[in-house]
Amino acid sequence: MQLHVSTGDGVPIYLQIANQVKYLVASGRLAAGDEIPPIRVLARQLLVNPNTVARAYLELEREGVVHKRHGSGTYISDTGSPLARKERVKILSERVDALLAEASHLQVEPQELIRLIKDRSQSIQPKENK
Amino acid sequence: MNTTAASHAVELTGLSRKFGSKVALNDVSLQVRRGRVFGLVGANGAGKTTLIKHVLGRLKAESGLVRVFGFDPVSEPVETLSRIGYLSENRDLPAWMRVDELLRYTEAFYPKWDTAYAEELRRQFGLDPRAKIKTLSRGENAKAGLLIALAYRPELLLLDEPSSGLDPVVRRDILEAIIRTVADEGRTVFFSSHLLEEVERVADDVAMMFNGQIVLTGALDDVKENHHRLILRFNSPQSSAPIVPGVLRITGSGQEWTAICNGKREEAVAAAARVGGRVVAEDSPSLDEVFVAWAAAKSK
Amino acid sequence: MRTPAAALTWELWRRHRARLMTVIGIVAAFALVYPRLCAWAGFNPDSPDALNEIAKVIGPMNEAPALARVVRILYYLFLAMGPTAAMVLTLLYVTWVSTFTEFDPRTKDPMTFPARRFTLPVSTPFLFWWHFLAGMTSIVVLYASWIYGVRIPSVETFAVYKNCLGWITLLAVAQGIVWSLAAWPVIRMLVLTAALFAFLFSPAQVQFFKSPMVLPPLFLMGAVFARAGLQKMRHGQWQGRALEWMFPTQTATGKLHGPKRFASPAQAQLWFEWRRFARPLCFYAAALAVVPVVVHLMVRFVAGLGPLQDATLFGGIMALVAIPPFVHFFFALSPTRTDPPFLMIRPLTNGSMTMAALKAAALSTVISWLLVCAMLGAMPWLGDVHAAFRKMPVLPGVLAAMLTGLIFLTWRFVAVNLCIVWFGKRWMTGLQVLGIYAGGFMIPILSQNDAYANSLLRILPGLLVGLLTLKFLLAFLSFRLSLKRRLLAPSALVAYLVVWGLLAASLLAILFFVARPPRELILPASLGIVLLVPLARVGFCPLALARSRHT
Repeated sequence: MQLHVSTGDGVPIYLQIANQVKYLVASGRLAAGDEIPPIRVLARQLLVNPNTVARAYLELEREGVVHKRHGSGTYISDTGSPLARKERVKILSERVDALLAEASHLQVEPQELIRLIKDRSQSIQPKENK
Repeated sequence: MNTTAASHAVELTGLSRKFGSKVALNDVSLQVRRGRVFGLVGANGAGKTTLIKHVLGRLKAESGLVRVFGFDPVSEPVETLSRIGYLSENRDLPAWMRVDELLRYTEAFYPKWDTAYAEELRRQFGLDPRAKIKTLSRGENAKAGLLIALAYRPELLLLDEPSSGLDPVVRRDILEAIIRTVADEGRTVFFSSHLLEEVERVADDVAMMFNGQIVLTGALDDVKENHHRLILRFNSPQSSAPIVPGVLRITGSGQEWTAICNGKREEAVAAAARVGGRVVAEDSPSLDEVFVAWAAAKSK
Repeated sequence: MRTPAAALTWELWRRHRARLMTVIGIVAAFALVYPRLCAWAGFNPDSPDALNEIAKVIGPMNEAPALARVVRILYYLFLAMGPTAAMVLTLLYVTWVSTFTEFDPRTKDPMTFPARRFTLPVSTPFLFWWHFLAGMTSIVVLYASWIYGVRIPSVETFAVYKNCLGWITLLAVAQGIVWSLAAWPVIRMLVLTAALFAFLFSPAQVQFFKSPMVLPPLFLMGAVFARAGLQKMRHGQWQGRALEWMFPTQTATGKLHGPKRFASPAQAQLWFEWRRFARPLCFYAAALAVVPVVVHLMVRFVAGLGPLQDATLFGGIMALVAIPPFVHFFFALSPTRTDPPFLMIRPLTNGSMTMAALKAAALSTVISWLLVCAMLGAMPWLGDVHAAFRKMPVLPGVLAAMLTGLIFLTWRFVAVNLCIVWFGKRWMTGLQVLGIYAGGFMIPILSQNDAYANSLLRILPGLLVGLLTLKFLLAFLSFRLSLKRRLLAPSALVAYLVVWGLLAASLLAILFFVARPPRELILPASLGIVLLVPLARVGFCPLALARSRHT
């Protein structure tokens, strides 16, 4: 699992980790049931504090992206677990609000925004012929 | 005199120190919690090394208290120093010793020395055991110093400017050692640095020093949350930095200026509005920007 | 290495291994080889007064001695006083090692206690006792091996040195001074010099040191100060107004003080060399010359002791006169002369750097000799100078010539070693010193045999002429090469040649008109003098500097 964190991004490091894991899941590079590295290992690999990684994992677990199996590691959850879904939709609606605010500031119409979303969604879909 | 169940690894209370007429430390109070990474940042001459020397017992506190795991480093040097692994800024390893002799020599002083672990570290750092220390490059010298500080798994790893003058490869090794130390249960790391990018990556708690005083201290996440970076847009181009009370530092040119403020966000926004600026974007600054902002504020 | 004590002992041995082996070697050499040398020369080391033995052999000396006889006398002096001198020197050396200090390249302090010792998890009492006992043991062992292993001839004046309690007291006092005055390097050096002087050259009789009121209290005081000093050093107390804190790193608004503009780069370089080595040399000479004399004067007029004995006064004058050459000799051979990159990038020709160094050396020579002469002027207050010199069977003319020779030699040490040090190879200076000592041994051995002595005298002029030719040839080649590579300005070369000519001429004049040597010695002496004034080696300086500047 290749992640990249940088300071000075404006985004806290734990959030960068969580977002990148979510991105990997969404783009198919991490499938349901895959194991993600233990906290210590990822901390050493990325050269960040283990507590930061722990916080990222906690965030991912809270959002239902990953789940812990009794003492044997952390694994990507199946998408579509109902409890987690509500949480995920809630988070996304917060993001959508922020996106709409920024779009209005940059004077981009909501219609144009929807088109943009569709375009981007197509480009990051996993290819059928791999 | 205290047991090792002391809650803090290092505790400084009201520590002050003068050298002649210069005040090196001014009423410094600090707690380093066990099992966490504590980063001390400050400019050169701010007093970081003086503070670390007090922790080691190399300086006796003129006023105030120093406690390391509950012990006073001056009156109980053996108790404190056997729990501390120290990498000094000066890299004062004896130049005439060989690496293997250095390991054998240091081992005699620390009962908890782990020979297998030391050998693993030596191989990982790529140090030739028969090499004389005076032939080592600066990076290898730092690694040798780090090696003998780590090999007995000290409860407190104390590093004074560990990355100064080193190339990125060696810096990675040092950071990795820090992370590995704290990932082992209960061990603490205290390091001073002015490479803020590294502090931001690995520290749990930070303290910032200016002119011998602790300017801010706390969990790194809290510090970053408390500081805001506001991008302000002014109605007319400003010829010089607009004065916005409540803001630590403001930079930019023309109509767009970036302001870093500490905590009092609403006041800053209101003050900016009074001089004709409105907020167009906002995010959290990096530790580097926070430090530079405080430096600018303190030098006024 | 299982325990901290064993580890520290190992560190001490390993660090000073070469030096301690040399000391052991010297003791062994004197134990084994020295009796043979004595037997060979017909000198009995066990006689109650060794100097009497020499007097028996020499006889009255009213006329200026022939070369062979001078050499023979020197050899006998070596036999009589060599062992004692070696004993004293090795004991002093081990005392220095036992202060456990090192040279700190950051602060340039020659005796700092290594800070890393204090971060080891050992208690301060343990540190003190280990250092204290290790030093005492080494001194006692060395002393015992000298006294019981080597047949040291007994000379009355040197009986003071055969006092074990005295040596361990000296160590305790030295440790006390060095460790408690860690923050004040200059004061520490002065006090240490004064203490050394008091122990080694005090006019006190043997009884003075034997009295229980003198040594035991000093020993205890030394130990107490050492213990306290170590404790304070460890915790940063007794640091006084350490200078670095007087100059904060955050500079604000200050006016630029300092010397006014220099007239030329050469002047600036001269100032630099003066500050870098010439002025410290003058300080050392001052410390060594002024402190003992002042201490003596104080003792004389405050404590009301009588005038010095003739022999002691004579010895004191000899010591004073030896100080500038001694100081310059050690400086000339010190390897820390190799120049840092800061100096190497100055837009200055190698020739002018050489000239600046030579001029600074001349300055330090003149000033240190002025100081010594001032102290010599105080000598009549300490005792009867005329009586002291009555025993010295040399004409005043020869004396004046020898003094001039010494002054010249002081400068010569630096001038001659400059190119070797700038060349950067440390072993070359060692080789030179070895060569001098080898020659020093060979000549007395050869002059034992009269036939050898006579043939030596006969070939000497030829040998000297050969060496002179080599000298001029090398000088010519080196100067030509320097000029061709534009390392040296022709005007500087001419200036130096003029100086060389004047020096040689004045020395020859002093030889002829003041010293008035006997006929057969005039030719070798004058050739020798011309040989001694440095020319070829100065010529090599710009080239040596070029090599180290551009490697």
